[in-house]
Amino acid sequence: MRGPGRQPLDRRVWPLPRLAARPVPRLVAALVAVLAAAAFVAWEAVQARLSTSSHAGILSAIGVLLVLALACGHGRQRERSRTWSLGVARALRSVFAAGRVRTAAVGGALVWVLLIAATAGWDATSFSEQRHDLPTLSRLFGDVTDHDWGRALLFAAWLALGAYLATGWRRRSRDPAADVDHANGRTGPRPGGSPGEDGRR
Amino acid sequence: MTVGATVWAVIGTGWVVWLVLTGLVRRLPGIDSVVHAFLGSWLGRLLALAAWAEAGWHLFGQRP
Repeated sequence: MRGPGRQPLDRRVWPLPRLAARPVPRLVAALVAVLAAAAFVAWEAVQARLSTSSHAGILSAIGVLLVLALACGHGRQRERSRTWSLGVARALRSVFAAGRVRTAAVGGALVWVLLIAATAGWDATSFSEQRHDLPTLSRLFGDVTDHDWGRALLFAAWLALGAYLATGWRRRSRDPAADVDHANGRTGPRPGGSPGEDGRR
Repeated sequence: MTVGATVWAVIGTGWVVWLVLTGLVRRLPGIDSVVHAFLGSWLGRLLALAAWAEAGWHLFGQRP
């Protein structure tokens, strides 16, 4: 209970919130992240492929980057998942309805889909067959990952790719120009306010 | 050369040829366009991260 002469706490003067709100310099944060990642890569490089510690390291990396993706991406996706799915479905429908590929962009996208599907499909087939004459991707890369340096290099590349997939290509907060509506081919703020402010993306 | 190695050679050649071609012909969507298309929404991003996670587990944690 405050007395009549007691002043409310002024948070602009109280030092702790100001200290807590002070952003860590980005360069220092990036340096710490790079050093931590390098130490992690060096540790993972010397782990045996089938060891529990190796598996724990891989799962930890996956978990950390998933959390990072959620933390960084709140309200900053460029499209809603529903809009994105409808766009993909519309593109596929137009290709199959036309019976032929009408634009270079659609044809090019189809080639990418075929390449990714062929790679994943053949790897899955080879893995399920477990035959010597059907090597999987991990066996093809095994000659490299059997060496500590090779495992370190590939693991670092894998981590870097995961970091980009988790944090890259985000919409800037409060930047309407970056809000691209791919479904309608428009750029700029959407009617009814900036999307993502409701945190549903 | 085994059947599996031959198929991988064909797939690998396809990747290299297509990467070079999309780099030369600007009208064709490059690998950056593909990645950015997936990262445009939560669903696409999670699909990409799932593929990345599975690839890492396969390459670094399973028997070669």
